[in-house]
Amino acid sequence: MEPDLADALRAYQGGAFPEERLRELVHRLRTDSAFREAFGDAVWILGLSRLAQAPEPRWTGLCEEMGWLNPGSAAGDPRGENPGAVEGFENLDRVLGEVRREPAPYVRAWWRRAAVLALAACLVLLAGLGWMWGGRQPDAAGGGLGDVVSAEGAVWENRSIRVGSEVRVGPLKLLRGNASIGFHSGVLLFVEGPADLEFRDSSRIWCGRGRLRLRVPPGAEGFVIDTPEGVVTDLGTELGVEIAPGRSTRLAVYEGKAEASLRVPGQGGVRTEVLGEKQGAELVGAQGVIRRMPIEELQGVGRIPMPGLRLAPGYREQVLEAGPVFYWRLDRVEGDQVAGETEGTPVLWKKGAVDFVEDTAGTRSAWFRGGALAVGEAVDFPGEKYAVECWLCAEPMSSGGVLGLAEDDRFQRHFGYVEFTNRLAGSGHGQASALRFLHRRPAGGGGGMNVLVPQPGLAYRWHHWVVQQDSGRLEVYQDGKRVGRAEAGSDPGGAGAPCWIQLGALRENLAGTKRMKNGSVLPVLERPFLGRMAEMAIYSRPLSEQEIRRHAQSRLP
Amino acid sequence: MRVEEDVQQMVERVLKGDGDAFLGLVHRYAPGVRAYLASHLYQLDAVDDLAQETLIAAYRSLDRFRQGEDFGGWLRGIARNKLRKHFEQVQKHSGLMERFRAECAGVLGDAWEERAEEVHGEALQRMLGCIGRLPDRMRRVVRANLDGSRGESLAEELGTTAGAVYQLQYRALKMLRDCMKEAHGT
Repeated sequence: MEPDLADALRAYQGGAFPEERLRELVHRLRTDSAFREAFGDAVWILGLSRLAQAPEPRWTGLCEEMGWLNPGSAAGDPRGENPGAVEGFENLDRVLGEVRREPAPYVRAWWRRAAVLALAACLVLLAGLGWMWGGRQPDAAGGGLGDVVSAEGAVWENRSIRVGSEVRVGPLKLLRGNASIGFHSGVLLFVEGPADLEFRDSSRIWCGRGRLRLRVPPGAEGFVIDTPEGVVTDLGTELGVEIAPGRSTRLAVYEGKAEASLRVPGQGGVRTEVLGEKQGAELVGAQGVIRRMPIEELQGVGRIPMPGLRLAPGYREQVLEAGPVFYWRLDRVEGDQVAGETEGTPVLWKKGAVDFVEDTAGTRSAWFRGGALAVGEAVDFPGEKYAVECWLCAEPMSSGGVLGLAEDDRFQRHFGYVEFTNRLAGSGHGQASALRFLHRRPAGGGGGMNVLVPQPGLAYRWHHWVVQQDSGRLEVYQDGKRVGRAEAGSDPGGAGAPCWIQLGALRENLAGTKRMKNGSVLPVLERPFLGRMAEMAIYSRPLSEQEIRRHAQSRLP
Repeated sequence: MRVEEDVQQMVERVLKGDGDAFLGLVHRYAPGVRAYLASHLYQLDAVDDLAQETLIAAYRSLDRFRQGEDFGGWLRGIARNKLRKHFEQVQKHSGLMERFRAECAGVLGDAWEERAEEVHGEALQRMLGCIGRLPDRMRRVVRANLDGSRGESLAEELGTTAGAVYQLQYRALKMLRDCMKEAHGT
């Protein structure tokens, strides 16, 4: 490789050169056809290779222009990864998926932010349409917006409300205690009583008093809390609000951004302030001012609790008795390694944000916050027959991979895949969440047979899951009951073939890596699972219904 | 011939108000437009922004597309105009490197346009397969974004010099080119 070509290629990629040298290179490009051809060839292939490895484009503007906001308007999915994708053009659904996932800090330009908010609004509208198309008509009071997913010492003015109750448009008063309310859009609202609330629609509430903590997933940005003092708009992802009647509204942004606005008394103006991460403010409506304050002043607003998982003391022994080939309790980590419970179980390595902390029941489990756990080297996988058993408590976010079984270390060629998903548009289930079990032989990046178990209200609840396949017969069990099955046809097997196992994400993005604040370099993970996982066991045989039921019944109240 | 007939039918459907028919056109031609733009622009954000602007402009002026015309060529014509405006901005406001890239694009643009005709969605899939078949070190260099000083830091990680990293990249690009030709032929 001659020096000019090396320098030209380096300069093209941003390498620093003096202006004079760049002029020389341009001159040679203009006058030397062989050089021009060699350089043009390299740059062309470089561009293609970068495009091939890049994420799909986020053409939100095009989607808006064309009105392509309903990815479920046609059925089919050429790659089989994406239920509800528009046939022959999976990019669109991925565009929307990316928009849903895109964290606020990366929404750079104002028009992109606007597009995201517009899309979020459209998605909410679509969710509503999906609700209607699915035959679930909203009631006269305005329809179900979500439900009560957890409560602790909660006393409601309406005594009939309990965990699982549907939340509808209208007032709701929590006299004391606390409760979490999950919206179908994925927003989670944690309320500490006494609190006076009014649910106006799926992205807006009014609060006259109380302490709130709001977690807004990507794609649902723009959730609004109206207060007597002013308006708080979430721009993603987690904030706390305290409304003291007759005093002020105080706001703290824990992650992401929020906008505070209030009307200035005596004039038509509205004062606004955008708060970034770890910033707080007090809205004083009477004076028309937004006063900055340290976030610590609002630390009393509790963190949103994940429900606890309590298993009978002999659960581990029950699992071991069933003879798993691999078994991780996911209750501890040493360094970056998660050890297994049987001799042949390989160590799982931590890739990114996975914590091992106690839940409200005192049980330790793996809390996936964007990271994954994966084996460090290929293992021999059972093959024709296998079962996967685990406990999951998912956050109401977009699709997230629970378990990937693949033939390559970057998880591009799956033969088995389990994910928690809310991407079921087109199936008539609107924004409902579901567990998906994919079986694919031969392994690859598309095709295969899916079992989908769609139901609303999967998120923020612990469920016992078993997925299993026996020579092409697929079954899914939830909490001890079979809830889905499919025939994938005869399975060519693959017993003894090298297998890579990953928990917590679909695959690694081939576009590259990300550098963490501590200097470590991690792969970019696609469709990370957000939530908790416990007691992951893999068997070389299908489990019997009795075994599954017995394991599921080990959960204590 | 068959492809052009399909394109004409899709255009007619769009003009009659069937917006979804435009999906088919986007699916078929967007990869070529992106590849064409990616050869001129280094920043992929800018590539996708201009590709999107190109497609929106095409949709809005679809009634000006003449029957029998090469739709891909027509789209690249719109993209070329977008690029020209982009580079005018670059010349006014950007630094040395951007001006260098703009000069390169000016010299090489015609050659790249011919190649863009051959790029469809499968080409990017093929490219991924070719990258996967590269030797380890080359694959690592290709997967890394050698933007700015990244070449130097990757050289440190690989225990070599920045010059050697760019040499490796050049060799990898040649292998990818050959692999793409081979894959195209089969």
